[in-house]
Amino acid sequence: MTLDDATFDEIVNAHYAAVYRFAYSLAGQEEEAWDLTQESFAQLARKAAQIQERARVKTWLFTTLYRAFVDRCRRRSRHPEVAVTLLEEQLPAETAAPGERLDAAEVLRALNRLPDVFRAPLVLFYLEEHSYLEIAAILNVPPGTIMSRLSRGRKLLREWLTEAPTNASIPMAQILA
Amino acid sequence: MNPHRSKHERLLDARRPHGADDKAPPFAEALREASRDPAWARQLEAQREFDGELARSLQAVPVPDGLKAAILRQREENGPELEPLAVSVSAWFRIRLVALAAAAALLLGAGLRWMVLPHDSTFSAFRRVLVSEAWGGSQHLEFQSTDPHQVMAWLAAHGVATNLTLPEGLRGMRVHGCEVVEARGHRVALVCLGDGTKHLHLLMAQGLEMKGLPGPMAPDFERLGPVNTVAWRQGDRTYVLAGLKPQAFVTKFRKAGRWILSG
Repeated sequence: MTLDDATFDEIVNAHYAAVYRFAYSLAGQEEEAWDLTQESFAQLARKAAQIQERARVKTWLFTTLYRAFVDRCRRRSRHPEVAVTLLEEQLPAETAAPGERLDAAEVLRALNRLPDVFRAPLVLFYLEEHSYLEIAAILNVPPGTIMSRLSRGRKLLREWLTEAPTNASIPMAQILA
Repeated sequence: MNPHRSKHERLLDARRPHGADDKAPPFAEALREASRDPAWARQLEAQREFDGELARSLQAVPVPDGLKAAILRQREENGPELEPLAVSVSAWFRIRLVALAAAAALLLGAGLRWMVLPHDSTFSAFRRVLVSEAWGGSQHLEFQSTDPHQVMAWLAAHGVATNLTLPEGLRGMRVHGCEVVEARGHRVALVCLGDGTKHLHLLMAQGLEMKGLPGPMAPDFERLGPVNTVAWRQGDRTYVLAGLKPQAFVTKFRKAGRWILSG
């Protein structure tokens, strides 16, 4: 695939937000998510010739980002746990409309509790509605394994997110209403 | 349990939240079977509601301002033919890399100076010379201390930066020490700061009068070779912060839509 400036601009416009959200869901912090996103598009600029058709660019970006994230985790001795307060500070208080059960902070908190092997497929599933076959290709994992991880991860999320609400889990919008 | 049901349940567990899979034959068959069991159908509907809420929440995660521009700018700066420096190296190679980096920093210093024309009296030229003076070489601190008050007192005693306090965005960082940098006839305070692996220089000059100074309390970003810099002015003081990526600067110095640049 050849990549002139106009095409690159179009691709960035179309995908940068979703790629960033994927990065943020994995990394849990804005700076690392920013770096991962920027690096993925930088690799696209360098290696566009490897992609055979434009329709595959989005999958390529997500795959590249995931590999970069895994590389970073391997280089660190431990993948750091992200403090709950850090996530809450970085999300707007008005994310949840009154009456909605889930807000972004709660969801990201719950996702962050999951092992990476569950978190990545679930984020791809919910964020971009990739099919389980696409997720298997992005993460380089057999489809059957992805189905298991989606099922088990979702079960855990549902348990955590649909428990009876405590004061800490009431969306801010409801408290302020 | 009916083995088909087990297989269909497993498949429907992987069904996408907004119906993209529903017409595909394996999913359509599984949905037909589920529709014949009211309890199962109710369970699927509840799952669909939960999935929809979760998808909406994730899709609402805000994307930081400036990211798109940074991606586009990086392509302009790097071009398609540059490859990133590999970072996954053994300790033995790492020592050699550090030595190479120090040598490169010295060359960078020389290179940046050569890039500035002698008669160019603008702030842009001054900034290049300043950063090259401050960033070149590994032994750059005349006074080493982790106590910010001692560092400020030393600078004041050496005739630069009286009443200097660290900008709020840098207060969480560890101070390493300071020195006085001479650039184009001006004496500039340099404070060396660290935060984990980050290594920053904050330079402050008083009473600069030259063309192209940054606006008051309006940061001006410029990348000088491999060094990210940002400059701003507060009163008669001009600051240059070297070594912090623009997005990290925004995170540290921008609160509730306003720049917090003062000390």
